[in-house]
Amino acid sequence: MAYRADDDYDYLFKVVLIGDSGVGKSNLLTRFTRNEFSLESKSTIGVEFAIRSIRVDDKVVKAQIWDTAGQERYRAITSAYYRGAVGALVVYDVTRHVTFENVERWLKELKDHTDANIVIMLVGNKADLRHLRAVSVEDAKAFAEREYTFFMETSALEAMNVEDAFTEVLTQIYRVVSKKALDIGDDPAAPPRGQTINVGSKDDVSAVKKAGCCSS
Amino acid sequence: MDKKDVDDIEPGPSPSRPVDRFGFIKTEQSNSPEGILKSRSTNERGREERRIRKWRKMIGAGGSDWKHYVRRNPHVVKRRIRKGIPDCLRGLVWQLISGSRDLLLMNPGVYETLVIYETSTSELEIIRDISRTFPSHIFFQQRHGPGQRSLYNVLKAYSVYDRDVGYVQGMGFIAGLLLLYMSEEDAFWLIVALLKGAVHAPMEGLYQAGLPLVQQYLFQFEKLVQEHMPKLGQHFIEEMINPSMYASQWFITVFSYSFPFPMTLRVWDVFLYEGIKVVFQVGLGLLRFCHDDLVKLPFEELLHSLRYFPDEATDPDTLFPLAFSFKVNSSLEELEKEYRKRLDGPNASSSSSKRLQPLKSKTMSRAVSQVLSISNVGKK
Repeated sequence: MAYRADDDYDYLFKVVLIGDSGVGKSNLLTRFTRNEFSLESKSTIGVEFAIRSIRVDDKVVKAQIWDTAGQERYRAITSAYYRGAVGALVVYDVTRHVTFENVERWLKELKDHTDANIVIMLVGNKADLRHLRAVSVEDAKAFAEREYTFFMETSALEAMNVEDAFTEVLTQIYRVVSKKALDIGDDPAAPPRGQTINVGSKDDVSAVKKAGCCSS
Repeated sequence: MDKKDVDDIEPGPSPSRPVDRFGFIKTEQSNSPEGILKSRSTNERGREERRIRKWRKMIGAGGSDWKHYVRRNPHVVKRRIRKGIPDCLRGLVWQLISGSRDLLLMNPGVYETLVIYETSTSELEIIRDISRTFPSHIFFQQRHGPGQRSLYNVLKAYSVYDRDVGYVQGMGFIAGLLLLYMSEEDAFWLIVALLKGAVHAPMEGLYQAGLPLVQQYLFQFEKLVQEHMPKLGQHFIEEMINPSMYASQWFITVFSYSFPFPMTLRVWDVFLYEGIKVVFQVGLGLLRFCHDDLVKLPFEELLHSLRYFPDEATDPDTLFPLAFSFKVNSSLEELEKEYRKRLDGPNASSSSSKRLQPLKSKTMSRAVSQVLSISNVGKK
Protein backbone atom coordinates (compact mmCIF):
# COMPACT_ATOMS: atom_id res chain seq x y z
CA MET A 1 0.00 0.00 0.00
CA ALA A 2 1.78 3.09 -1.18
CA TYR A 3 1.69 6.10 1.01
CA ARG A 4 1.26 9.54 -0.45
CA ALA A 5 2.40 12.35 1.72
CA ASP A 6 0.77 15.52 0.62
CA ASP A 7 2.82 18.05 2.41
CA ASP A 8 1.34 21.11 0.85
CA TYR A 9 -1.50 22.38 2.90
CA ASP A 10 -2.71 25.56 4.50
CA TYR A 11 -4.76 24.09 7.31
CA LEU A 12 -4.64 20.88 9.23
CA PHE A 13 -7.78 19.76 11.04
CA LYS A 14 -8.22 16.80 13.30
CA VAL A 15 -11.52 15.02 12.86
CA VAL A 16 -12.89 11.97 14.67
CA LEU A 17 -15.31 9.32 13.45
CA ILE A 18 -17.42 7.91 16.23
CA GLY A 19 -20.58 5.89 16.66
CA ASP A 20 -21.74 2.39 17.52
CA SER A 21 -19.99 -0.70 16.34
CA GLY A 22 -20.88 -1.79 12.81
CA VAL A 23 -22.45 1.43 11.55
CA GLY A 24 -19.83 1.76 8.82
CA LYS A 25 -17.29 4.23 10.17
CA SER A 26 -14.29 2.49 8.64
CA ASN A 27 -15.90 2.22 5.25
CA LEU A 28 -16.86 5.90 5.34
CA LEU A 29 -13.22 6.66 6.01
CA THR A 30 -11.82 4.48 3.25
CA ARG A 31 -14.47 5.79 0.86
CA PHE A 32 -13.43 9.35 1.61
CA THR A 33 -9.66 8.88 1.72
CA ARG A 34 -9.10 6.12 -0.85
CA ASN A 35 -12.45 5.82 -2.62
CA GLU A 36 -12.63 2.21 -1.53
CA PHE A 37 -15.36 0.14 0.05
CA SER A 38 -15.07 -3.39 1.33
CA LEU A 39 -17.87 -5.80 2.12
CA GLU A 40 -15.27 -7.94 3.84
CA SER A 41 -13.89 -5.43 6.27
CA LYS A 42 -12.77 -6.40 9.76
CA SER A 43 -14.05 -4.80 12.90
CA THR A 44 -11.76 -2.00 14.01
CA ILE A 45 -9.59 -2.79 17.00
CA GLY A 46 -8.41 0.36 18.78
CA VAL A 47 -7.96 3.26 16.38
CA GLU A 48 -7.18 3.71 12.71
CA PHE A 49 -5.96 6.80 11.00
CA ALA A 50 -6.07 8.31 7.53
CA ILE A 51 -5.63 11.67 5.88
CA ARG A 52 -6.95 13.52 2.90
CA SER A 53 -6.63 17.03 1.63
CA ILE A 54 -9.37 18.98 -0.04
CA ARG A 55 -9.57 22.42 -1.52
CA VAL A 56 -11.73 25.08 0.11
CA ASP A 57 -11.75 28.42 -1.66
CA ASP A 58 -8.15 28.73 -2.71
CA LYS A 59 -6.79 26.94 0.32
CA VAL A 60 -5.71 23.38 0.88
CA VAL A 61 -7.34 21.90 3.94
CA LYS A 62 -5.87 18.68 5.20
CA ALA A 63 -7.97 16.39 7.34
CA GLN A 64 -6.40 14.05 9.78
CA ILE A 65 -9.16 11.57 10.53
CA TRP A 66 -9.23 9.13 13.43
CA ASP A 67 -11.50 6.15 13.09
CA THR A 68 -12.30 4.55 16.42
CA ALA A 69 -13.55 1.16 17.56
CA GLY A 70 -17.25 1.47 18.29
CA GLN A 71 -17.68 -1.00 21.10
CA GLU A 72 -18.43 0.58 24.45
CA ARG A 73 -15.51 -1.17 26.14
CA TYR A 74 -13.07 0.53 23.81
CA ARG A 75 -13.90 4.02 24.97
CA ALA A 76 -11.21 3.53 27.60
CA ILE A 77 -8.72 3.85 24.77
CA THR A 78 -10.53 5.82 22.11
CA SER A 79 -11.71 8.77 24.15
CA ALA A 80 -8.11 9.98 24.34
CA TYR A 81 -8.37 10.62 20.62
CA TYR A 82 -11.13 13.17 20.98
CA ARG A 83 -8.74 15.66 22.47
CA GLY A 84 -7.82 18.39 20.05
CA ALA A 85 -10.45 17.34 17.52
CA VAL A 86 -12.12 20.27 15.79
CA GLY A 87 -14.59 18.17 13.88
CA ALA A 88 -16.55 14.99 14.45
CA LEU A 89 -18.76 12.74 12.40
CA VAL A 90 -21.16 10.93 14.69
CA VAL A 91 -22.36 7.98 12.68
CA TYR A 92 -25.43 5.80 13.07
CA ASP A 93 -26.90 3.08 10.89
CA VAL A 94 -30.26 4.07 9.36
CA THR A 95 -31.33 0.41 9.51
CA ARG A 96 -30.67 -0.02 13.23
CA HIS A 97 -32.64 2.35 15.40
CA VAL A 98 -30.64 1.61 18.51
CA THR A 99 -27.52 3.09 16.89
CA PHE A 100 -29.49 6.32 16.44
CA GLU A 101 -30.67 6.26 20.03
CA ASN A 102 -27.07 5.95 21.14
CA VAL A 103 -26.06 9.10 19.30
CA GLU A 104 -26.98 11.05 22.38
CA ARG A 105 -24.36 9.19 24.39
CA TRP A 106 -21.77 9.78 21.70
CA LEU A 107 -22.52 13.48 21.78
CA LYS A 108 -22.06 13.43 25.50
CA GLU A 109 -18.69 11.73 25.04
CA LEU A 110 -17.70 14.55 22.73
CA LYS A 111 -18.88 17.14 25.21
CA ASP A 112 -16.84 15.53 27.95
CA HIS A 113 -13.65 15.32 25.95
CA THR A 114 -13.58 18.10 23.39
CA ASP A 115 -14.02 21.80 23.04
CA ALA A 116 -17.69 22.69 23.26
CA ASN A 117 -17.57 24.34 19.87
CA ILE A 118 -16.35 21.41 17.84
CA VAL A 119 -18.10 21.08 14.45
CA ILE A 120 -20.32 18.02 14.57
CA MET A 121 -22.06 16.26 11.72
CA LEU A 122 -24.68 13.63 12.43
CA VAL A 123 -24.33 10.98 9.76
CA GLY A 124 -26.98 8.36 8.95
CA ASN A 125 -25.06 5.74 7.02
CA LYS A 126 -26.23 2.75 4.92
CA ALA A 127 -28.91 4.89 3.29
CA ASP A 128 -28.73 2.56 0.30
CA LEU A 129 -30.65 -0.06 2.32
CA ARG A 130 -33.94 1.67 1.66
CA HIS A 131 -36.16 -1.31 2.37
CA LEU A 132 -34.59 -1.77 5.81
CA ARG A 133 -34.75 1.80 6.97
CA ALA A 134 -35.57 2.17 10.67
CA VAL A 135 -34.75 5.83 11.24
CA SER A 136 -36.60 8.47 9.26
CA VAL A 137 -34.88 11.46 7.79
CA GLU A 138 -37.32 13.73 9.62
CA ASP A 139 -36.50 12.29 13.02
CA ALA A 140 -32.79 12.57 12.42
CA LYS A 141 -33.13 16.11 11.12
CA ALA A 142 -35.19 17.18 14.09
CA PHE A 143 -32.69 15.63 16.43
CA ALA A 144 -29.80 17.35 14.68
CA GLU A 145 -31.59 20.69 14.97
CA ARG A 146 -32.14 20.22 18.67
CA GLU A 147 -28.53 19.29 19.21
CA TYR A 148 -27.14 22.00 16.94
CA THR A 149 -25.32 19.57 14.70
CA PHE A 150 -25.20 19.25 10.97
CA PHE A 151 -26.90 16.29 9.41
CA MET A 152 -26.55 14.15 6.33
CA GLU A 153 -27.45 10.67 5.21
CA THR A 154 -24.73 8.75 3.44
CA SER A 155 -23.98 5.47 1.79
CA ALA A 156 -20.36 4.41 1.89
CA LEU A 157 -21.32 1.53 -0.39
CA GLU A 158 -22.78 3.74 -3.11
CA ALA A 159 -20.42 6.63 -2.40
CA MET A 160 -23.44 8.79 -1.73
CA ASN A 161 -22.87 12.02 0.18
CA VAL A 162 -19.66 10.74 1.73
CA GLU A 163 -17.58 13.36 0.03
CA ASP A 164 -20.15 15.99 0.96
CA ALA A 165 -20.33 15.02 4.59
CA PHE A 166 -16.61 15.29 5.18
CA THR A 167 -16.26 18.33 2.99
CA GLU A 168 -19.03 20.11 4.82
CA VAL A 169 -17.40 19.49 8.18
CA LEU A 170 -14.00 20.62 6.94
CA THR A 171 -15.44 23.67 5.23
CA GLN A 172 -17.29 24.73 8.35
CA ILE A 173 -14.16 24.42 10.42
CA TYR A 174 -12.26 26.33 7.78
CA ARG A 175 -14.82 29.15 7.75
CA VAL A 176 -14.49 29.61 11.46
CA VAL A 177 -10.74 29.47 11.54
CA SER A 178 -10.13 31.71 8.54
CA LYS A 179 -12.70 34.22 9.71
CA LYS A 180 -11.05 34.29 13.08
CA ALA A 181 -7.65 34.75 11.43
CA LEU A 182 -8.96 37.65 9.36
CA ASP A 183 -10.47 39.26 12.40
CA ILE A 184 -7.19 39.34 14.20
CA GLY A 185 -5.21 40.15 11.07
CA ASP A 186 -3.22 36.97 11.03
CA ASP A 187 -1.92 35.42 7.88
CA PRO A 188 -4.03 32.30 7.47
CA ALA A 189 -1.50 30.84 5.06
CA ALA A 190 1.00 30.32 7.84
CA PRO A 191 -0.62 27.88 10.21
CA PRO A 192 1.26 25.51 12.42
CA ARG A 193 2.35 22.42 10.54
CA GLY A 194 3.07 18.87 11.43
CA GLN A 195 1.42 16.96 14.16
CA THR A 196 -0.01 19.89 16.05
CA ILE A 197 -3.63 19.45 15.42
CA ASN A 198 -5.13 21.75 17.91
CA VAL A 199 -6.43 24.29 15.51
CA GLY A 200 -8.43 26.60 17.56
CA SER A 201 -8.96 27.96 20.97
CA LYS A 202 -12.50 28.09 22.22
CA ASP A 203 -13.14 31.31 20.39
CA ASP A 204 -12.06 29.96 17.05
CA VAL A 205 -14.87 27.55 16.67
CA SER A 206 -17.53 29.45 18.49
CA ALA A 207 -18.56 31.18 15.30
CA VAL A 208 -19.79 27.88 13.96
CA LYS A 209 -23.02 27.97 15.81
CA LYS A 210 -23.83 31.30 14.29
CA ALA A 211 -22.70 30.12 10.91
CA GLY A 212 -25.62 27.80 10.86
CA CYS A 213 -26.74 24.35 11.65
CA CYS A 214 -28.49 21.47 10.08
CA SER A 215 -27.64 22.19 6.50
CA SER A 216 -28.10 18.99 4.63
CA MET B 1 7.13 -37.69 -7.93
CA ASP B 2 6.70 -34.68 -5.70
CA LYS B 3 3.22 -33.41 -4.94
CA LYS B 4 4.52 -30.04 -5.88
CA ASP B 5 1.34 -28.01 -5.96
CA VAL B 6 -0.04 -28.98 -2.62
CA ASP B 7 1.27 -25.95 -0.83
CA ASP B 8 0.32 -23.53 -3.49
CA ILE B 9 -3.21 -24.26 -4.53
CA GLU B 10 -5.81 -26.02 -2.49
CA PRO B 11 -9.09 -26.22 -4.36
CA GLY B 12 -11.62 -24.36 -2.23
CA PRO B 13 -15.38 -24.30 -2.46
CA SER B 14 -15.29 -21.46 -4.96
CA PRO B 15 -12.71 -22.41 -7.56
CA SER B 16 -12.62 -18.92 -9.00
CA ARG B 17 -10.97 -17.64 -5.83
CA PRO B 18 -7.80 -19.55 -5.07
CA VAL B 19 -6.62 -19.71 -1.48
CA ASP B 20 -3.18 -19.92 0.04
CA ARG B 21 -1.97 -22.90 2.06
CA PHE B 22 -3.66 -21.54 5.19
CA GLY B 23 -7.04 -21.04 3.58
CA PHE B 24 -6.94 -17.29 3.02
CA ILE B 25 -8.31 -16.12 -0.28
CA LYS B 26 -5.52 -14.78 -2.42
CA THR B 27 -5.55 -11.17 -3.43
CA GLU B 28 -3.20 -9.58 -5.87
CA GLN B 29 -1.18 -7.67 -3.35
CA SER B 30 -1.96 -9.79 -0.34
CA ASN B 31 0.46 -10.37 2.46
CA SER B 32 0.10 -14.06 1.81
CA PRO B 33 3.01 -16.31 2.61
CA GLU B 34 3.61 -17.47 -0.94
CA GLY B 35 6.75 -15.43 -1.18
CA ILE B 36 8.23 -17.25 1.76
CA LEU B 37 6.88 -20.70 1.12
CA LYS B 38 7.00 -20.92 -2.64
CA SER B 39 9.13 -23.52 -4.35
CA ARG B 40 10.17 -25.66 -1.46
CA SER B 41 13.02 -27.85 -2.48
CA THR B 42 13.05 -31.59 -1.90
CA ASN B 43 15.78 -30.88 0.58
CA GLU B 44 13.54 -28.65 2.67
CA ARG B 45 10.77 -31.20 2.58
CA GLY B 46 13.12 -33.81 3.91
CA ARG B 47 14.12 -31.52 6.71
CA GLU B 48 10.50 -30.77 7.52
CA GLU B 49 9.70 -34.48 7.71
CA ARG B 50 12.60 -35.13 10.08
CA ARG B 51 11.41 -32.24 12.19
CA ILE B 52 7.91 -33.67 12.42
CA ARG B 53 9.31 -37.06 13.49
CA LYS B 54 11.34 -35.36 16.19
CA TRP B 55 8.26 -33.55 17.43
CA ARG B 56 6.10 -36.66 17.38
CA LYS B 57 8.64 -38.42 19.52
CA MET B 58 8.78 -35.48 21.90
CA ILE B 59 5.04 -35.30 22.54
CA GLY B 60 4.21 -39.01 22.37
CA ALA B 61 0.88 -40.45 21.31
CA GLY B 62 -1.84 -37.85 21.92
CA GLY B 63 0.59 -35.81 24.00
CA SER B 64 1.24 -38.54 26.57
CA ASP B 65 4.98 -37.91 26.86
CA TRP B 66 4.82 -34.15 26.70
CA LYS B 67 4.89 -33.17 30.36
CA HIS B 68 7.66 -35.60 31.09
CA TYR B 69 9.73 -34.26 28.20
CA VAL B 70 9.21 -30.62 29.10
CA ARG B 71 10.22 -31.24 32.68
CA ARG B 72 13.45 -32.91 31.63
CA ASN B 73 14.38 -30.71 28.67
CA PRO B 74 12.74 -27.31 28.99
CA HIS B 75 15.45 -25.61 26.99
CA VAL B 76 15.24 -28.03 24.10
CA VAL B 77 11.49 -27.45 24.00
CA LYS B 78 11.92 -23.70 24.09
CA ARG B 79 14.45 -23.80 21.26
CA ARG B 80 12.31 -26.05 19.11
CA ILE B 81 9.20 -23.97 19.67
CA ARG B 82 11.02 -20.82 18.63
CA LYS B 83 11.87 -22.58 15.38
CA GLY B 84 8.16 -23.17 14.84
CA ILE B 85 5.82 -26.01 15.72
CA PRO B 86 5.10 -28.23 12.70
CA ASP B 87 1.76 -27.15 11.29
CA CYS B 88 0.26 -30.63 11.47
CA LEU B 89 0.93 -30.82 15.22
CA ARG B 90 0.21 -27.21 16.07
CA GLY B 91 -3.32 -27.67 17.36
CA LEU B 92 -2.34 -30.41 19.76
CA VAL B 93 0.85 -28.73 20.96
CA TRP B 94 -0.90 -25.42 21.56
CA GLN B 95 -3.32 -27.20 23.86
CA LEU B 96 -0.49 -28.92 25.69
CA ILE B 97 1.64 -25.85 26.27
CA SER B 98 -1.24 -23.58 27.22
CA GLY B 99 -2.58 -25.96 29.85
CA SER B 100 -5.95 -25.99 28.11
CA ARG B 101 -5.88 -29.76 27.61
CA ASP B 102 -5.98 -30.25 31.39
CA LEU B 103 -8.89 -27.84 31.78
CA LEU B 104 -10.80 -29.68 29.09
CA LEU B 105 -10.26 -33.05 30.71
CA MET B 106 -11.30 -31.77 34.10
CA ASN B 107 -14.53 -30.26 32.80
CA PRO B 108 -16.37 -32.75 30.62
CA GLY B 109 -19.66 -31.50 29.27
CA VAL B 110 -19.24 -27.97 30.58
CA TYR B 111 -18.68 -26.37 27.21
CA GLU B 112 -21.78 -27.98 25.81
CA THR B 113 -23.81 -26.63 28.71
CA LEU B 114 -22.54 -23.12 28.14
CA VAL B 115 -23.37 -23.27 24.45
CA ILE B 116 -26.75 -24.91 24.64
CA TYR B 117 -28.41 -23.87 27.87
CA GLU B 118 -27.07 -20.41 28.60
CA THR B 119 -27.95 -17.11 27.05
CA SER B 120 -25.62 -14.19 26.81
CA THR B 121 -26.31 -10.47 26.72
CA SER B 122 -23.53 -10.20 24.16
CA GLU B 123 -25.19 -12.37 21.54
CA LEU B 124 -26.11 -9.54 19.19
CA GLU B 125 -22.70 -7.94 19.47
CA ILE B 126 -21.04 -11.25 18.69
CA ILE B 127 -23.25 -11.88 15.69
CA ARG B 128 -22.48 -8.45 14.29
CA ASP B 129 -18.77 -9.20 14.33
CA ILE B 130 -18.84 -12.78 13.10
CA SER B 131 -18.67 -11.88 9.43
CA ARG B 132 -16.04 -9.27 10.22
CA THR B 133 -13.58 -11.78 11.64
CA PHE B 134 -11.07 -13.21 9.19
CA PRO B 135 -13.48 -12.31 6.37
CA SER B 136 -10.95 -13.45 3.79
CA HIS B 137 -10.63 -16.97 5.13
CA ILE B 138 -12.69 -19.67 3.42
CA PHE B 139 -13.61 -21.30 6.73
CA PHE B 140 -15.25 -18.13 8.01
CA GLN B 141 -16.58 -16.79 4.74
CA GLN B 142 -19.76 -18.71 4.29
CA ARG B 143 -22.67 -17.00 5.97
CA HIS B 144 -23.91 -19.23 8.78
CA GLY B 145 -21.43 -21.86 7.62
CA PRO B 146 -19.60 -24.16 10.02
CA GLY B 147 -16.80 -21.66 10.60
CA GLN B 148 -19.09 -18.81 11.54
CA ARG B 149 -21.20 -21.09 13.73
CA SER B 150 -18.18 -22.36 15.63
CA LEU B 151 -16.87 -18.86 16.09
CA TYR B 152 -20.20 -17.74 17.45
CA ASN B 153 -20.46 -20.69 19.83
CA VAL B 154 -17.00 -20.21 21.29
CA LEU B 155 -17.44 -16.48 21.81
CA LYS B 156 -20.88 -16.89 23.27
CA ALA B 157 -19.72 -19.65 25.58
CA TYR B 158 -16.92 -17.46 26.84
CA SER B 159 -19.19 -14.46 27.33
CA VAL B 160 -21.38 -16.64 29.55
CA TYR B 161 -18.49 -18.28 31.34
CA ASP B 162 -16.96 -14.92 32.27
CA ARG B 163 -19.70 -12.33 32.46
CA ASP B 164 -17.29 -9.64 33.64
CA VAL B 165 -15.49 -9.88 30.37
CA GLY B 166 -18.43 -10.85 28.21
CA TYR B 167 -17.55 -10.26 24.60
CA VAL B 168 -15.01 -7.71 23.47
CA GLN B 169 -14.04 -6.99 19.88
CA GLY B 170 -10.71 -8.59 19.20
CA MET B 171 -11.50 -11.83 21.02
CA GLY B 172 -12.98 -13.07 17.76
CA PHE B 173 -9.62 -13.02 16.06
CA ILE B 174 -8.11 -15.13 18.81
CA ALA B 175 -11.01 -17.57 18.73
CA GLY B 176 -10.90 -17.65 14.94
CA LEU B 177 -7.21 -18.38 14.88
CA LEU B 178 -7.64 -21.23 17.35
CA LEU B 179 -10.58 -22.69 15.44
CA LEU B 180 -8.38 -23.18 12.42
CA TYR B 181 -6.36 -25.63 14.50
CA MET B 182 -8.75 -27.25 16.93
CA SER B 183 -12.36 -28.01 17.80
CA GLU B 184 -14.75 -25.51 19.34
CA GLU B 185 -14.45 -27.02 22.75
CA ASP B 186 -10.65 -27.10 22.61
CA ALA B 187 -10.58 -23.50 21.45
CA PHE B 188 -12.86 -22.45 24.26
CA TRP B 189 -10.66 -24.01 26.93
CA LEU B 190 -7.57 -22.49 25.41
CA ILE B 191 -9.14 -19.05 25.73
CA VAL B 192 -10.04 -19.86 29.33
CA ALA B 193 -6.46 -21.00 29.97
CA LEU B 194 -5.11 -17.72 28.60
CA LEU B 195 -7.52 -15.32 30.20
CA LYS B 196 -7.69 -17.05 33.57
CA GLY B 197 -3.99 -17.81 33.65
CA ALA B 198 -3.53 -21.58 33.59
CA VAL B 199 0.21 -21.38 32.94
CA HIS B 200 1.11 -17.71 32.63
CA ALA B 201 -0.26 -14.55 34.17
CA PRO B 202 -3.99 -14.19 33.48
CA MET B 203 -4.84 -11.92 30.57
CA GLU B 204 -8.50 -11.21 31.29
CA GLY B 205 -7.52 -7.60 32.04
CA LEU B 206 -7.07 -7.13 28.30
CA TYR B 207 -10.83 -7.25 27.97
CA GLN B 208 -12.29 -6.15 31.27
CA ALA B 209 -14.02 -2.79 31.63
CA GLY B 210 -11.48 -0.02 31.16
CA LEU B 211 -9.15 -2.42 29.37
CA PRO B 212 -6.73 -2.17 32.31
CA LEU B 213 -4.16 -4.60 31.01
CA VAL B 214 -4.07 -2.98 27.58
CA GLN B 215 -3.27 0.30 29.25
CA GLN B 216 -0.57 -1.29 31.37
CA TYR B 217 1.02 -3.12 28.44
CA LEU B 218 1.04 0.06 26.36
CA PHE B 219 2.73 1.93 29.19
CA GLN B 220 5.33 -0.81 29.53
CA PHE B 221 5.88 -0.98 25.80
CA GLU B 222 6.46 2.74 25.48
CA LYS B 223 9.05 2.61 28.24
CA LEU B 224 10.75 -0.41 26.70
CA VAL B 225 11.07 1.40 23.40
CA GLN B 226 12.67 4.32 25.19
CA GLU B 227 15.01 1.99 27.04
CA HIS B 228 16.11 -0.16 24.12
CA MET B 229 15.86 2.34 21.25
CA PRO B 230 16.31 5.75 22.87
CA LYS B 231 16.63 7.57 19.57
CA LEU B 232 13.34 6.17 18.30
CA GLY B 233 11.72 6.68 21.69
CA GLN B 234 12.70 10.33 21.58
CA HIS B 235 11.46 10.62 18.01
CA PHE B 236 8.10 9.18 19.05
CA ILE B 237 7.86 11.75 21.82
CA GLU B 238 8.69 14.61 19.47
CA GLU B 239 6.20 13.42 16.88
CA MET B 240 3.61 12.76 19.59
CA ILE B 241 3.24 9.12 18.69
CA ASN B 242 2.08 6.93 21.51
CA PRO B 243 1.76 3.17 21.38
CA SER B 244 -2.03 3.15 21.61
CA MET B 245 -1.97 4.50 18.06
CA TYR B 246 -0.37 1.38 16.66
CA ALA B 247 0.14 -1.33 19.28
CA SER B 248 -3.26 -1.78 20.98
CA GLN B 249 -4.22 -4.46 18.51
CA TRP B 250 -0.83 -6.17 18.92
CA PHE B 251 -1.77 -6.90 22.50
CA ILE B 252 -5.55 -7.23 22.24
CA THR B 253 -5.33 -9.86 19.51
CA VAL B 254 -1.76 -11.07 20.05
CA PHE B 255 -0.75 -10.19 16.51
CA SER B 256 -3.65 -12.08 14.97
CA TYR B 257 -5.47 -9.02 13.60
CA SER B 258 -3.44 -7.64 10.75
CA PHE B 259 -0.18 -9.49 10.32
CA PRO B 260 0.70 -12.11 7.72
CA PHE B 261 -0.65 -15.42 8.91
CA PRO B 262 2.66 -17.32 8.97
CA MET B 263 4.00 -14.71 11.35
CA THR B 264 0.90 -14.88 13.52
CA LEU B 265 1.28 -18.64 13.87
CA ARG B 266 4.95 -18.48 14.80
CA VAL B 267 4.25 -15.74 17.33
CA TRP B 268 1.51 -17.88 18.87
CA ASP B 269 3.81 -20.89 19.12
CA VAL B 270 6.18 -18.90 21.26
CA PHE B 271 3.59 -16.77 23.03
CA LEU B 272 1.73 -19.79 24.36
CA TYR B 273 4.92 -21.29 25.73
CA GLU B 274 6.74 -18.21 27.01
CA GLY B 275 3.93 -15.80 27.75
CA ILE B 276 3.02 -12.19 27.01
CA LYS B 277 6.63 -10.99 27.07
CA VAL B 278 6.85 -12.41 23.55
CA VAL B 279 4.41 -9.79 22.31
CA PHE B 280 6.68 -7.09 23.70
CA GLN B 281 9.73 -8.71 22.13
CA VAL B 282 8.12 -9.11 18.73
CA GLY B 283 6.90 -5.51 18.87
CA LEU B 284 10.38 -4.31 19.71
CA GLY B 285 11.79 -6.52 16.96
CA LEU B 286 9.50 -4.93 14.38
CA LEU B 287 10.55 -1.46 15.47
CA ARG B 288 14.22 -2.44 15.48
CA PHE B 289 13.97 -3.84 11.98
CA CYS B 290 12.55 -0.56 10.66
CA HIS B 291 14.39 1.64 13.13
CA ASP B 292 16.56 3.59 10.69
CA ASP B 293 13.58 4.46 8.53
CA LEU B 294 11.23 5.22 11.39
CA VAL B 295 13.52 7.78 13.04
CA LYS B 296 13.39 9.88 9.88
CA LEU B 297 9.65 9.92 9.38
CA PRO B 298 7.20 12.62 10.43
CA PHE B 299 3.96 11.86 12.25
CA GLU B 300 1.71 10.70 9.45
CA GLU B 301 4.21 8.60 7.55
CA LEU B 302 5.34 7.20 10.86
CA LEU B 303 1.85 6.02 11.73
CA HIS B 304 1.48 4.50 8.31
CA SER B 305 4.76 2.62 8.61
CA LEU B 306 3.78 1.34 12.04
CA ARG B 307 0.66 -0.12 10.50
CA TYR B 308 2.09 -1.62 7.32
CA PHE B 309 5.41 -3.31 7.91
CA PRO B 310 7.46 -4.53 4.96
CA ASP B 311 7.32 -8.27 4.19
CA GLU B 312 10.92 -8.85 5.30
CA ALA B 313 10.12 -7.41 8.72
CA THR B 314 7.32 -9.87 9.29
CA ASP B 315 9.24 -12.94 8.16
CA PRO B 316 9.68 -14.88 11.42
CA ASP B 317 13.13 -16.09 10.45
CA THR B 318 14.30 -12.50 10.22
CA LEU B 319 12.13 -11.07 12.96
CA PHE B 320 12.57 -13.62 15.73
CA PRO B 321 16.34 -13.38 16.18
CA LEU B 322 15.88 -9.63 16.50
CA ALA B 323 12.90 -9.98 18.81
CA PHE B 324 14.52 -12.44 21.18
CA SER B 325 17.68 -10.37 21.39
CA PHE B 326 15.67 -8.06 23.65
CA LYS B 327 15.81 -9.15 27.27
CA VAL B 328 12.66 -7.76 28.80
CA ASN B 329 11.76 -9.86 31.84
CA SER B 330 13.19 -7.71 34.61
CA SER B 331 12.23 -4.44 32.91
CA LEU B 332 8.67 -5.64 32.54
CA GLU B 333 8.50 -6.39 36.24
CA GLU B 334 9.93 -3.03 37.19
CA LEU B 335 7.65 -1.20 34.80
CA GLU B 336 4.62 -3.01 36.10
CA LYS B 337 5.44 -1.82 39.59
CA GLU B 338 5.98 1.70 38.31
CA TYR B 339 2.68 1.62 36.47
CA ARG B 340 0.79 0.41 39.52
CA LYS B 341 2.38 3.08 41.63
CA ARG B 342 1.19 5.75 39.23
CA LEU B 343 -2.22 4.21 39.01
CA ASP B 344 -2.80 3.73 42.70
CA GLY B 345 -1.15 6.93 43.79
CA PRO B 346 0.49 7.15 47.21
CA ASN B 347 -1.97 4.69 48.73
CA ALA B 348 -0.83 1.81 46.62
CA SER B 349 -1.30 -1.45 48.41
CA SER B 350 0.91 -4.44 47.84
CA SER B 351 -2.06 -6.62 47.11
CA SER B 352 -2.77 -4.89 43.85
CA SER B 353 0.13 -6.61 42.15
CA LYS B 354 -1.10 -10.08 42.78
CA ARG B 355 -3.35 -10.41 39.77
CA LEU B 356 -0.46 -10.64 37.41
CA GLN B 357 1.24 -13.55 39.08
CA PRO B 358 0.74 -16.84 37.36
CA LEU B 359 -1.53 -18.85 39.64
CA LYS B 360 -1.08 -22.32 38.32
CA SER B 361 -3.22 -24.82 40.13
CA LYS B 362 -5.10 -22.28 42.18
CA THR B 363 -6.46 -20.46 39.15
CA MET B 364 -7.24 -23.70 37.51
CA SER B 365 -9.40 -24.90 40.34
CA ARG B 366 -11.05 -21.52 40.61
CA ALA B 367 -11.84 -21.64 36.92
CA VAL B 368 -13.22 -25.09 37.32
CA SER B 369 -15.43 -24.34 40.27
CA GLN B 370 -16.76 -21.32 38.45
CA VAL B 371 -17.61 -23.45 35.48
CA LEU B 372 -19.20 -26.13 37.58
CA SER B 373 -21.46 -23.69 39.32
CA ILE B 374 -22.49 -22.33 35.98
CA SER B 375 -23.19 -25.76 34.61
CA ASN B 376 -25.32 -26.54 37.63
CA VAL B 377 -27.39 -23.47 37.02
CA GLY B 378 -27.77 -24.59 33.45
CA LYS B 379 -29.19 -27.93 34.46
CA LYS B 380 -31.87 -26.52 36.66
